[in-house]
Amino acid sequence: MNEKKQPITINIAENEAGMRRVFSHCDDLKIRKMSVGANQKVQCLICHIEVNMDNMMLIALGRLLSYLENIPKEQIGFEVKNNAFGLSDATPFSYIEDAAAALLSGDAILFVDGADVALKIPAKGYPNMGVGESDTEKVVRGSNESFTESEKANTALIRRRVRSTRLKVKEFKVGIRSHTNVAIVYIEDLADPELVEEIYERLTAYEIDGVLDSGVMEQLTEENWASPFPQMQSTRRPDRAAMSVLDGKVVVLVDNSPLALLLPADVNSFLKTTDDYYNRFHMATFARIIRYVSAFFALTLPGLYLAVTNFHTQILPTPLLLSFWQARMGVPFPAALEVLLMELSFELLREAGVRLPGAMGNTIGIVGGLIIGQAAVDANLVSPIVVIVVAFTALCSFAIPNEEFAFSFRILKFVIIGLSAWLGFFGFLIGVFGVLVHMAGLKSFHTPYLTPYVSPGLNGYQDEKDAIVRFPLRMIWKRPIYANRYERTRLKKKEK
Amino acid sequence: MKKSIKKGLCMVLLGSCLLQLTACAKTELEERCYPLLAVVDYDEDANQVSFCAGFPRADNSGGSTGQTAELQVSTASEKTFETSKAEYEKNLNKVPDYNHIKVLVLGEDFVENEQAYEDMLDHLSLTEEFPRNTYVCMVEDVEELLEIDKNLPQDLGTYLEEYLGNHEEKKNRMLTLGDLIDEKENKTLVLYAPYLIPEETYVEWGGYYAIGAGMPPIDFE
Amino acid sequence: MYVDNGKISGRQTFRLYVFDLMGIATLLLPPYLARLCGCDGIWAIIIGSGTGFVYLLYLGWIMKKMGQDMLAYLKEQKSRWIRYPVLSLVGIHSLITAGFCACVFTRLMQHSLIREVSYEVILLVIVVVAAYAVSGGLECRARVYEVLFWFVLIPYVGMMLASLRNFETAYAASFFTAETGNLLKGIYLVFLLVTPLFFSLFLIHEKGKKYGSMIKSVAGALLLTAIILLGSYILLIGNFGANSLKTMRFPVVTLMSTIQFEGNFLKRMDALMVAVWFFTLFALLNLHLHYGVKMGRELWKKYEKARIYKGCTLFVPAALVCAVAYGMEYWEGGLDLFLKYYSYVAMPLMVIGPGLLLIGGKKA
Repeated sequence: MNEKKQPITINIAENEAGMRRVFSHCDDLKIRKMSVGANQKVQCLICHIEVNMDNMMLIALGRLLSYLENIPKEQIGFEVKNNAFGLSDATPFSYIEDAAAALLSGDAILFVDGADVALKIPAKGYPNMGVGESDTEKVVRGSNESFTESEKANTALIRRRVRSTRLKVKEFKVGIRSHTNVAIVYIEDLADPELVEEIYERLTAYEIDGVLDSGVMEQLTEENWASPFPQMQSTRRPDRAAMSVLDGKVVVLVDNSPLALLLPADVNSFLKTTDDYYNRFHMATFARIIRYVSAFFALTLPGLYLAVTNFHTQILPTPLLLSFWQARMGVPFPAALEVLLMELSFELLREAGVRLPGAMGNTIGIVGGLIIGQAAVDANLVSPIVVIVVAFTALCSFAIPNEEFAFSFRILKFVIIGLSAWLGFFGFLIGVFGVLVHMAGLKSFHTPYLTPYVSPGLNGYQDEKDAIVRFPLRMIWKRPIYANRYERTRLKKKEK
Repeated sequence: MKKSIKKGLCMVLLGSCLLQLTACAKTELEERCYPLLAVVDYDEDANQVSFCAGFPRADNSGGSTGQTAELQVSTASEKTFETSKAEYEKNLNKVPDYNHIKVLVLGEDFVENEQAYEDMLDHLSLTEEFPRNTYVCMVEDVEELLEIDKNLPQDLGTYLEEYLGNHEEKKNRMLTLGDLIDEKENKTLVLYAPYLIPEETYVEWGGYYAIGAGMPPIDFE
Repeated sequence: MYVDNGKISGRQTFRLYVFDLMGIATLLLPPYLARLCGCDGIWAIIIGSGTGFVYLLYLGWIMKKMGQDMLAYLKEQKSRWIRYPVLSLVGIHSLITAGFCACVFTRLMQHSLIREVSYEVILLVIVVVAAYAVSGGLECRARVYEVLFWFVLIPYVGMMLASLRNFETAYAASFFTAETGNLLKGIYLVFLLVTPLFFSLFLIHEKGKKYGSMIKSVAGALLLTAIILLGSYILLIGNFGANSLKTMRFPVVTLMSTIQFEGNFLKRMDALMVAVWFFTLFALLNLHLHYGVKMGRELWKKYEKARIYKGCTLFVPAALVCAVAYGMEYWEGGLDLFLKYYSYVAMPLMVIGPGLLLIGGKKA
């Protein structure tokens, strides 16, 4: 990282080459050439991150152009060096790398032919770009910003968090009619180059009319399209995306989509949240254990209830069994059908709540959950125990941070219900084993889905330190397995 | 043609699965009853083994619908434990699930009849119908014990389980059905069955009754 | 990046073999040992496991000589006249043993969980799921058991320790009473159950390298299994007594039903604890079905490009496993015949066979 700095020279072509070298494969960097001065004979360059051209910068540029209008070419170098064109808050830089760092802070950099300095033209930094708060993936601690629907703005949101020239943005168009911008964002030395290449190949493997959301790209590129499990992680949170690129992952942004895709994905990444890293390890570990247990119950609880009450009552303590027994008295449906109906009713409520505007969605929840639920119990259509089981299962599924991942559990829950109703605990085990086998066979861009619980030895058992138990940050000193194998160290103590 | 064959095969598979589903022999929770106590005795005069079970009461089932959980039917008497139990089950209106039996009460006459006693243990070890950790106790007259059921605030099974549990010491755990089954084969230990004396509204501790090690049973105060 | 090369890590090998060996050993061995040796069954376990280590050393020596896995060795070093019969024998043996595993598995499930459901339905479900697991390949299987390892082992060891409460020292006090012949039979029985070690010859390793670490992993698995088996046997003897133990069908499951924790929410945990044998027996069934399928695919490799190749080479062995398991259940003497086959045919072949392959018959 301690490379020799390149000095800024009076030759603007050399300076441009220097900037292009530092920002190679950064399609979000814009370099604009202009001719200024008397008779428009002096060349200058304005470099900025694409979305960072704000009003303030335009005012500064206007002043600059009017200042230069009557200055002869020979004098321009002097003016730049000594007067900074009269811009009071402009800062001169003598090295390309320093200018690049300033550019990454959100300012524009001006190079003028004949001047061996570059000027930073201050802007407000990264503009707000209409960034809102994330509705989903809420955290207690950490940024609340959400991606927007503009791919350019989203790229800038990541760059704002990772101000490195090694953060690369590869832009291309997909959709023969829609010409949608797609960007692959990664850190050059951290992401596996083969992975980046493969992602690009897969994203461009289809000719399609139009891509209106990242979900389309996701479905076209995943390896096992029949699996209910998502093989790419989606997020609305720029800090999560930034964290992923720092881990060596690749982020795919699609224009008009507020969701970024993070690749490769594994089961653990779906159950992590960003504030796991902002909170102390005790809290993070506890939260993760809760989420894992929730995921298990979201999949299995109704099935387990059926297996136990219909086949293996010996498991339950007698008072509880008798309570279940009493609750079932007079219910007209078999237990399996009762559970199935309740689960379907819950899904119906959820679907109705999602499609309605916020306040009405809440009303649907209250009407469905409390009023209809209570009425159903009073009318002896369902037993109160089943209502508790279904409600608890729903609660568990909401504790899974990723919506798509939670949905796969909700779907598979019905398979487990069917098997448990048919074969009791044996069916339950068959279902759980089947799901596990399926997950073990899944891969997301060659990374086993069950990472980091499988083959952690390949990365010195470091990935297990950020699994269900999150070790103290100072002990997680290696990047995950999918990062470039030569750049695995992410934390070390500074030498004194 | 190929498509229709595939469709047909799928339908057959689906149909057979559904058939399996519907033909599944499982019994719903509410269609079963849960004995908490089993009482076995032997009538020397009639040369018959009698069997009856005790069920939970509505009040300790936690329900509020007022339906009684009591399914008490009169004692069945047959030649062996197996047949008398089967006869008893015939008289019940629900399928018995013995997984929650808490106490097995044996009449003194029954234990002294080696054949009847061993038949019972053989049957229970083969079928594994009763949990092995069911407490075992003995009384002289089972009828007297069943009489006090009416005067108890809770069902007799739970009462006896609590009573025996209260007498259990850490080092000397209470005799269970599993111990009887094992000792029938091992003939190594002397087992001490709690001997209870039924009073009008409670039972009294009557000491232990020694069984096993190939010895004839001994009344042990 | 990860590569699909059919190789598994040392930890995966260790965990896979613990599952392969532990399930059937803890489930079936105790009543047989109690019948033959009584309390002296513990010596049979110790000596039988010791012979298992000797066998493993012998396999390690063979691996070293071969310098590669057995399939590659057969392909490179042997003519088709040797390769095809060897592959056929291994394949047939794998399928027969898989049938036995399926039969035991089905019986256990029927006995402990679902008495009302027919043997055929349970068997079919088991074999279908096993075939699905096998279709994912060795790595997929290894990952499953790598994840499940602690979920199975911790409850099992915990329950075993809890059963100490009912331990009756008088039951476990009569040593050195077994006849020598019976003790030898017991040792042979223990040795029979460690024969899945034979399949470590087929684990892929780089030419001339890494077989050493693999052998270490398998040895670790054998040691852990021996300790678990020994502990389980002592506890079973102490809880039930040798005479009672020998009359039981699945004593270790019965033991689970007798354990009660004070103030515990769950009353009896035998139904839940059957999960331990569900996963471990599945591991053994998968192991044998996997090699049955693998040998079949090697034998019919020339049809590799056919559309139905993968389906047929999976479906036919699975159907054969079903047929074998069905035969063992309904054909009187089927199980005895299997035990005779395993004791007098398969076992000697698995010991002598690999050694014989090292001599002569090199490909031109």
